[in-house]
Amino acid sequence: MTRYVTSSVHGGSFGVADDGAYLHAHRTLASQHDVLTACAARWTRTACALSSRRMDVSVRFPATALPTSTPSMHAPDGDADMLMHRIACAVDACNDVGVMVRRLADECGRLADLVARAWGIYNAAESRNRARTTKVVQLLAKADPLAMSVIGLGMGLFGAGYGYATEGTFGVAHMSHATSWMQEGLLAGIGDRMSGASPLDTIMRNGSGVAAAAGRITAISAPANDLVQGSRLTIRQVHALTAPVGYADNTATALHDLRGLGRANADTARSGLSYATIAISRYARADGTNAWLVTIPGTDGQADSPLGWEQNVELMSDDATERAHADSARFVAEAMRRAGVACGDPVALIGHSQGGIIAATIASDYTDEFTVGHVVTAGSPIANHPVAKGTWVTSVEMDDELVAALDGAANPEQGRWLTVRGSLAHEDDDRLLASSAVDIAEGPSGLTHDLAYHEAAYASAAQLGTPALERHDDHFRRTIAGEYQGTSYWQGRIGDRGDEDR
Amino acid sequence: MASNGSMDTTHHITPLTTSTAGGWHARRPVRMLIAAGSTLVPGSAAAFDTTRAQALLAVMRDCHALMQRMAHECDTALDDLLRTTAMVRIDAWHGPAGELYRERIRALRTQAAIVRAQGDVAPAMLFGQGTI
Repeated sequence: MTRYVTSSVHGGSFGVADDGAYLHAHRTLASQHDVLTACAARWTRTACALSSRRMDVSVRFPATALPTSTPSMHAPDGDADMLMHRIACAVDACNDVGVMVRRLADECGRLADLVARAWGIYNAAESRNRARTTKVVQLLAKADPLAMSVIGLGMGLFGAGYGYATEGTFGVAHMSHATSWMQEGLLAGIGDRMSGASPLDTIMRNGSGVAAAAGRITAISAPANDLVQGSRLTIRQVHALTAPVGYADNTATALHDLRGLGRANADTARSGLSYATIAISRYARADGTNAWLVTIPGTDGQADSPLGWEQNVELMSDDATERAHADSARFVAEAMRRAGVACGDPVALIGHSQGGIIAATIASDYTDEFTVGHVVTAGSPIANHPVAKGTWVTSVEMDDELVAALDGAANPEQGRWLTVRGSLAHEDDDRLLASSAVDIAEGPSGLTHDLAYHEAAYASAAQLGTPALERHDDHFRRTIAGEYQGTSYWQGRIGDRGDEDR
Repeated sequence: MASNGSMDTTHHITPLTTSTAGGWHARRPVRMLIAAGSTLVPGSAAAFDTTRAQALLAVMRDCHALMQRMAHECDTALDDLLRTTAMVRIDAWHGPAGELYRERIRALRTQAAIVRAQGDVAPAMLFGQGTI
């Protein structure tokens, strides 16, 4: 079964001229939809009125109801039959015109919907509703985290049961889908509880408790992880047999390459790459300087990988030092240094899951060293990262992927921070450009944290031609504008030997 | 044509129309229906026929007026659609969605013009050459 994703765009900036044109078009088409729907209904009522007159004729001239084989005594009976026939034709005509007018109304509605989605006309309201739900769940979870966790588990099991009934599989994907509405609030509330946030903080802030809780955990887990895994970072340049990451001049291509890198890392025999390998592409600019695109895959969980599970917690800490010293952030920063990324060179970073958190961390905590112009994240909980003001952020999230909700907060909706929010769509959705197909093997529903879903979500948003998204895409393109010089691949390992970190 | 552009078919309603249109007139002499006082009880078969014919004529006029009014309302709505959709261009809208939007708006306007014409001729169905 092919899966589809539909998207909405939140945040970003619009031009005033665009606002006016989109708003006018939407209002006009929505208004015409209403007017024509009413007109179609009136045609139908006219048809009904004519039918009633026809019945009236048949009652008043009962002889006409007799079969035509029975000769009528009065010639005018033929006129009555004729009139009834003509009225019947008129009824058909009214119904036909009514149907045609209704089709016009429907088309106006579809076009209005297309404009609304491209312009994000309902997205602000959607965001507000989502924020309210999150806040309520957050407050309840702060008050009684155990009870809310049990409710969450119950919802998840219900979803899993539904998945079993519909697809025959008892998967985590269905659990995650069923609890999507409460994930962010639940995690925010638990984070508040763990970090000892005051009630005022719980009310006023969304994800700060999660970051504070991650900081507390990191204070204990990071040293423990250093003992178990080691803290000596080994980085080496490796050569790929294939070219998973190539020239990119737009966000969609960079996302596709990011997915390609993840697959290449998992397919060592064919690609020559291995886990915890990032790609750094160089673009030579006309002024002799370079622009860079850093492609960072997600968590691989290998024992000697800097992109392990524990590093996720460190990266989400509210402490800048803890974030910056996470093995994964150190790895990427060091690889960038070795690749030759200079202080003033414009850099774009794109990452999936932990890769996105690393990108946000570098844009937040390595500002003295790197000039990060644009960050693209896919399925990364980065709402609490203090990304530098000059950095543009394009986030792609699926609304039912638990990972993106781990920050316990929605991404800021600002001109420079745009979030594409995708959700699973029905195949029979007849709206114009409603969804994009997910390029994934058929089978039981998997977690939407898979990058294939983010790619489809971005494609769905991009095909709408939203001006805000186009501005972000254009900024991404300008950040790495230049002549493509090739891509280098850097592999990181964590252990007790060969400390090559800074 | 009426001033609003719709086809005015009122002038087609005559006793002759009701008595001759269709396939029946070939079977009997064509004759004009002479108006009779509606309050009079028909005293003969001829008077009875006249009363019936006038009743039928009234029904037809009523139906026609109904359709004419509807066609006129529809014309107004579709004229407004044609007028307003001429001003919903979004030049800054690029990509597949922008192209699709412009194409569908063009098609919508064409279709609206066709439907308008269909609505105009709908009342004429009452005077068509039908068969029973």
